[in-house]
Amino acid sequence: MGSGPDRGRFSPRLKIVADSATGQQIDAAALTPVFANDPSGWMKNRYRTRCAFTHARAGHTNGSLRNSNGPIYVPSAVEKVETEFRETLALVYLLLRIGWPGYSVGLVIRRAGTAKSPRWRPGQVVGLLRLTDAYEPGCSKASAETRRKIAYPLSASRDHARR
Amino acid sequence: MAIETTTYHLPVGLMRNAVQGYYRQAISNLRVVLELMTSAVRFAVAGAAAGFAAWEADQIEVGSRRD
Repeated sequence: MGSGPDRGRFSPRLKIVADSATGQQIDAAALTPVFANDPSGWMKNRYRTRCAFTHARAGHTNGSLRNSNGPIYVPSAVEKVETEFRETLALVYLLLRIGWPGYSVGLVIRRAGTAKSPRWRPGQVVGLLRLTDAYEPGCSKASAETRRKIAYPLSASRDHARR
Repeated sequence: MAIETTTYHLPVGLMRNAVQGYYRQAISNLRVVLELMTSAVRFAVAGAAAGFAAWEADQIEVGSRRD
């Protein structure tokens, strides 16, 4: 399935999800909002960052990632792609869980979420998946234990954790 | 061709771009993933099955004439 002609209207659609009972339940259960339609929201934050790469804004170009003109292998850039991919994976699984209540995440993905990376603390994806496990239509909030284990990779959430 | 700029082959494009050094394009492809999933899930949270079916039918098939 490709992208249809109705692409390019991300914010209004995110707002629909954020304003829904499901979205509000998840945002209330998470330490920091996931679907909030402003920069504090995890999904919106990731989307804005990727827009910067899409439009090759300053600091978000191949040249800035490679420090070179040529397409060369740069470990830090590969790690950046990996980190972004993992975050996308986590968000997609959460969305899948919302749209497909019977869906469950496989063990391989759970293990993938625990892979060690300097920029990706173990447990972040797993924490999110615990939230999806805890979420069932009609439930008000995930348990306090689940909330404690969730750690989002945004700087805002880290600041929140320090407080 | 090294650079995958289309959005229709996301997994292939992501990996091909990343391993060949086109990191910006690889990360950019992930934006489309969020767009697509959010577009689809908005119907689920609204319980709009008919709306989802119409939206899905309007998507461009990979390899189709419209691709």
